[in-house]
Amino acid sequence: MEDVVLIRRPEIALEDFLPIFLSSSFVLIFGLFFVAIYTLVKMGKLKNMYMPFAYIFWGLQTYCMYFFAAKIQSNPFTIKVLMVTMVCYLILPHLYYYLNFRSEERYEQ
Amino acid sequence: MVNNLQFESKRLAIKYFIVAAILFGAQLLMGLIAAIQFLVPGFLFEVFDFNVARMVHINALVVWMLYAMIGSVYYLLPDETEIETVGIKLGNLAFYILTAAVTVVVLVYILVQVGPASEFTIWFINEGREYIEAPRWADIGIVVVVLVFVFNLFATAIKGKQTGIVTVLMADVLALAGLYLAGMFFTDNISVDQYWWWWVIHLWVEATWEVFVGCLAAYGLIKIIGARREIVEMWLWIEVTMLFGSGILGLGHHYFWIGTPEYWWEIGALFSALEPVPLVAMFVHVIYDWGKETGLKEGSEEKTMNNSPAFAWFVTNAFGNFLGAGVWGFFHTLPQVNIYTHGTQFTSAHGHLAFFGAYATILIGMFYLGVQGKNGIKVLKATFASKMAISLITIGVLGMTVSLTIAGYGQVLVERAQMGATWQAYFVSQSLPWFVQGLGWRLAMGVVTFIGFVFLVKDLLTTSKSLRHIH
Repeated sequence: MEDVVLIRRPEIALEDFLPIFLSSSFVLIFGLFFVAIYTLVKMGKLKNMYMPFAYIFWGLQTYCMYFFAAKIQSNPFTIKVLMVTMVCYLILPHLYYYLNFRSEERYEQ
Repeated sequence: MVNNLQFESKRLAIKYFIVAAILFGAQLLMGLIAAIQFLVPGFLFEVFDFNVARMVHINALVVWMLYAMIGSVYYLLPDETEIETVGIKLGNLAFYILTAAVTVVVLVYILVQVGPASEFTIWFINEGREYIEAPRWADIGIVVVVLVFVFNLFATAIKGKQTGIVTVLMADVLALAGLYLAGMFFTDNISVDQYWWWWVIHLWVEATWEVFVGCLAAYGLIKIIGARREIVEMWLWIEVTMLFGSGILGLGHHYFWIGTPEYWWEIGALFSALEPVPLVAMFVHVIYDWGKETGLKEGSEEKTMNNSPAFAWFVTNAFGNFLGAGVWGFFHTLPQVNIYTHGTQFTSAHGHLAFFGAYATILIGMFYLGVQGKNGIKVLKATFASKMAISLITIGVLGMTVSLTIAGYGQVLVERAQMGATWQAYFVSQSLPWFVQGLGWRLAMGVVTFIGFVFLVKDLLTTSKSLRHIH
């Protein structure tokens, strides 16, 4: 007899649905706030003192991502990869604006 | 009315835009009929059933967007390549053939509706494949017409100037046209069949169409606010890389339903999570470019925006793309959640906002660029009708999305989680007060959207006569 391959389906508790929908939405919304505030500060439209709020939103986003991944029962490896992705997301705007300012300096010269 | 367009390619684009706008109206009318049928199941029973209204609603959406996309390429080609489109006569012929074919197909959908479920039905009535139900003769015809379009784009780009926008378009349109072939053959195994079919719509909307929108956004920003080409094209290339990567692998989040190996859950989940990143980047790029360009031109007499309605639609695109494709996509499509949400009103909520936010908005923006070019308007300002159009259509679609999300939430909890997706569960959830009231609000918001569409048509047709425009 052939081995039967079973795929385990995650069971989500009824009370977890709303937190899952909300936390996953907040992953994106907080992520947007992070880059939006970071961008506005870099453009000079907001003062430098607002920059910590950008990082607070990144922190909230990362927490929501972890919470959400745990609630949908992602496997431990995926959760680790998602956290590494969040670190990359933190670095990305820094890298972009660094390259952008350097290229603009060269362009203006 | 005087046509100020110097290039035949742009004149052809206007024809595509006109048919696209007509099909957009047909899509909304069919949506209203289907929305009424949800609440009053006997409405037009056995005359124009729900399955037909829904099919025409969805197909009209796909086809009007393809029309507007082809029109947009014909519109921007002379600007980018600095020459007339090669093979423009062939392009015109293809336009009339495509329009005749679409008319016949829609009439068959509406008047004939069903066939004997044999080869005859597949060839002459419909293929029964959601979103791309065209009968096989039309399927083959569409391929021929699209090949003409692809040839025109490539031949023109090779002969004329090759900007970054045109180069990305060439790669993207080739993929867009090629993917259509994946939905044209049948296999006996329904899972295998669905596997291939999903490629068409999902790689279209999650990869090729998104890149296409990136090209239009880049072109629009240059045309409307004079953004620097170096900046928008740099972003375009980054978006291409990210969207092809996240779009293709993120597609794995759908594979849960078609019997592919379990590792696709995790690959699909991870890359789905990355899919919104290019969308966020696109949004940031719009703010950043706008801020930089207005900043550079401060104090000068030069107008920094020459088409306010188009710019308003482009900005709506940045928000709508993020909300519809991003937020509404992310919270319900990961496999672990999608097992409960698949095929509920959640899907419908996501579909409505994503198609509108990511695609309809920017294509309507292109309509305005077409009107500006055709009427020779240097600075096109917003009118009362254009403000009403964007406000009512956006509020209408957002309202529909929220209503459907509420209906879907009730459905997920009762039909799927509590009652285990049985036949009885389906009917119980259909009578939930949240579900019924949600669909009632969806209908009301659909009417708001349609009124907005009427304002849009009025504005597009009368904009050159308005005294508020500065020529």
